[in-house]
Amino acid sequence: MTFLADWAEWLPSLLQGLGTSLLLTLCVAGIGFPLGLGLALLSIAPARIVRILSIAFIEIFRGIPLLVVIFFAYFGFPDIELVISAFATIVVAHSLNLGAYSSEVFRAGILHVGPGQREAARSLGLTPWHAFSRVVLPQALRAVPGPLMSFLIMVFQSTSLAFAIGVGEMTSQAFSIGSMTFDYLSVLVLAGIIYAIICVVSARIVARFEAKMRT
Amino acid sequence: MTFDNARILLKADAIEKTFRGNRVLDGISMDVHAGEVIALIGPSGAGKSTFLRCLNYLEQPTGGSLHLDGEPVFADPLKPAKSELLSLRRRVGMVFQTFNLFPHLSVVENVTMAQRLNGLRSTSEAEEYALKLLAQVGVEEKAEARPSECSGGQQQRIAIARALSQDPELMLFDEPTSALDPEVGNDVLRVMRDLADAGTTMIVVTHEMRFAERVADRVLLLDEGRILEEGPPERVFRHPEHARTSRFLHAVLDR
Ligand SMILES: Nc1ncnc2c1ncn2[C@@H]1O[C@H](COP(=O)(O)OP(=O)(O)OP(=O)(O)O)[C@@H](O)[C@H]1O
Ligand SMILES: [Mg+2]
Repeated sequence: MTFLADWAEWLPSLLQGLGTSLLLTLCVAGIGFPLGLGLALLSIAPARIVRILSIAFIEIFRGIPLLVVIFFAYFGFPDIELVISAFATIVVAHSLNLGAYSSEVFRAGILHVGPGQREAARSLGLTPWHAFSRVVLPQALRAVPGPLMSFLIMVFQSTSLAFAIGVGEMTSQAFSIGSMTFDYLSVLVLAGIIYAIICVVSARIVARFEAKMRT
Repeated sequence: MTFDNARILLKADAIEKTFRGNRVLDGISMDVHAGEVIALIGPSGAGKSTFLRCLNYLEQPTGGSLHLDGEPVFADPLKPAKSELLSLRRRVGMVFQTFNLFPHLSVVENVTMAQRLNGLRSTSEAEEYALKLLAQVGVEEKAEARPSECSGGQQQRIAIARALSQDPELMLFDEPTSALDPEVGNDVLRVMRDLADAGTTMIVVTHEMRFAERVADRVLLLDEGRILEEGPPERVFRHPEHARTSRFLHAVLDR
């Protein structure tokens, strides 16, 4: 039972890393989801060129593995004289990835609102902006919380990639503990348990929420 | 005739609509007098819905022009300005076959929203007016419900109240009872009849020949994008000029 004593000793610094992981998740969601909504709107814009460009953007950032995007930002930004912290680099790279993926959810939600709704809005003399913001968008957004919360869990898990450029989130913390104690396995098991607990609990909440939405 | 013969509210002049080479409306002209009720009938695919939708520019005609109250609606009918479109649609209400209520809003919000957003009335005035309209169409008890909690007949009456909330000068109905059971449809027809009696100018696409006969001042029979027959209901129904009209009427009445 000696490992329990070790775990108790490591826990504070892992939890500190967890705080960073959660903060990253929040920042990424705060930028990535609005970006996804924006991309979804652009991808159904009336102008063909706008549609093509935004769909290309979406496909590119869905196609490139997140880790590659992170490295690209990390090594590429300094080349264009853009100096930002490693934390900000992760947020930018990860938000692009999340924006590309979540745009599909927003797009499906918007397209799900039938033409009759738009026609009713237009027939009442609502401006195109009011028709969109008061009729189409609220209905489109009703379908998205479930899928978006699932994305949020995936984002939380993949914040562990931030380890690659030394942002002190939970995986990095586990790794640096491992490099001092040479007991990588034990500390990674502990970190894994913490990740799993948070993900399982949030997945449960999401499932319950979705069931509630359906009724 | 209860309507004012002198005043032409809507003048549609040679309205044409072509969908990718398919000529659906072949130059339809029509005058609608203030207070008049027009029933638009005709076989499926004749262009009734398309014509109605051209009158509020949900469908942009490929030719022809509209006048409301003697004034052209558009400076250039082929290039409608945004403000011209909004003003036309605020003056012309529309009721759809499938109701198209906004499911995310309560019944009363469905009726207040456009009033508020279009700056027609303040929030409290809009609410008061909405409740009055809902009472007029007989669904005031559903004011706080969601549309999904209302029957089809109630939903269509709410849709009528929603269209009326803009104080339209003209109301368009596209087969308002086709999606409803007959008994329920009768509630809707009764509301429409009350509107007609109160002097509302209406154009109604319908397959309800009894309604057309009793309520309409004039019947227009559309066929292949043209007006085939036109006149007071008793003339069109009892003494049609064209053999096609009799064939159509027989086909409808046999159903
Ligand atoms: N958006 C569209 N694009 C292409 N063709 C269309 C479109 N809308 C209508 N049409 C065609 O125009 C013709 C007239 O259609 P419309 O819906 O006006 O007929 P209708 O008289 O209302 O028929 P119904 O009694 O079945 O409702 C049909 O041949 C239809 O296929
Ligand atoms: Mg039709």
